[in-house]
Amino acid sequence: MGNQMSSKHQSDLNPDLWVDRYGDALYRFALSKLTDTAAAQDLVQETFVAALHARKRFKGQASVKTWLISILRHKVVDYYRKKTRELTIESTGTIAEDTDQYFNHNGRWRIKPGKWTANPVKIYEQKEFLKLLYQCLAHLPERLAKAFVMRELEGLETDEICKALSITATNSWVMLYRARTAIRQCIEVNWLKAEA
Amino acid sequence: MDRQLPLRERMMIWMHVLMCHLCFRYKRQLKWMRLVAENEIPYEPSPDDPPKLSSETKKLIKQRLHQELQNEIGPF
Repeated sequence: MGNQMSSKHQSDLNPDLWVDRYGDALYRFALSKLTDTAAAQDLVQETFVAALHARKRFKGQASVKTWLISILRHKVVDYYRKKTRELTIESTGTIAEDTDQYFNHNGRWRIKPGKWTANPVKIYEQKEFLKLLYQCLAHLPERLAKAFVMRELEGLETDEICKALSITATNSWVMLYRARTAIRQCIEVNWLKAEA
Repeated sequence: MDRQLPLRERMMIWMHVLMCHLCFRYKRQLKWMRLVAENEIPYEPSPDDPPKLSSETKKLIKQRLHQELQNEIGPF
């Protein structure tokens, strides 16, 4: 039984099989986040290369597909980060450091959260919303973006995030607060067109 | 959203959010963000024509992976 498990695990980690088994699924995931097909193919290739180098660290807690998608997610954010200068997305500046500006010294809202004119929970809005979410993540400092992706997109608990990023729990809460506030603001400015 | 607060703090926040409509809005919007992110699903194409990597692209990726493996092992 142990040998069977082990040989299955080994075959799951055979890079030759990855492309046939998971290539199309990764490609579709990438296409759901960007429209450039050539870039999507590049990201899939880079994902496989990264996975190849990290395969010895993969302990099989998640399925191979989930693990590969997780790597691809970070690749998508990196892609948008590189493209940030070319994007038409309205920059929110040094958003992560500016979250304190939302409140005045009395603790009252200085920059009021606007009323969203669309509801991202509606199915037909979700794809657009997620695409923008990834673009907004590219505007965050890398560590904040990583923390956000791990918490909100991968559903990791904060202690796992602390371990992965070598930070304290208090740090992680502050980072996540800043990331969420910045992403919310970025989405509002670029898609939902806030009302006063 | 990231940890369980003591009951007293939770009650205080709850009372505050009830009175502060901007806080209520902010909280609801963060919840929406989380809901969409949690349910992130890969692009679902029409079943007739799902986008796929061409066999040529797959071949190129495999070649690249073999090359990376060679580099990892080093020259004989």
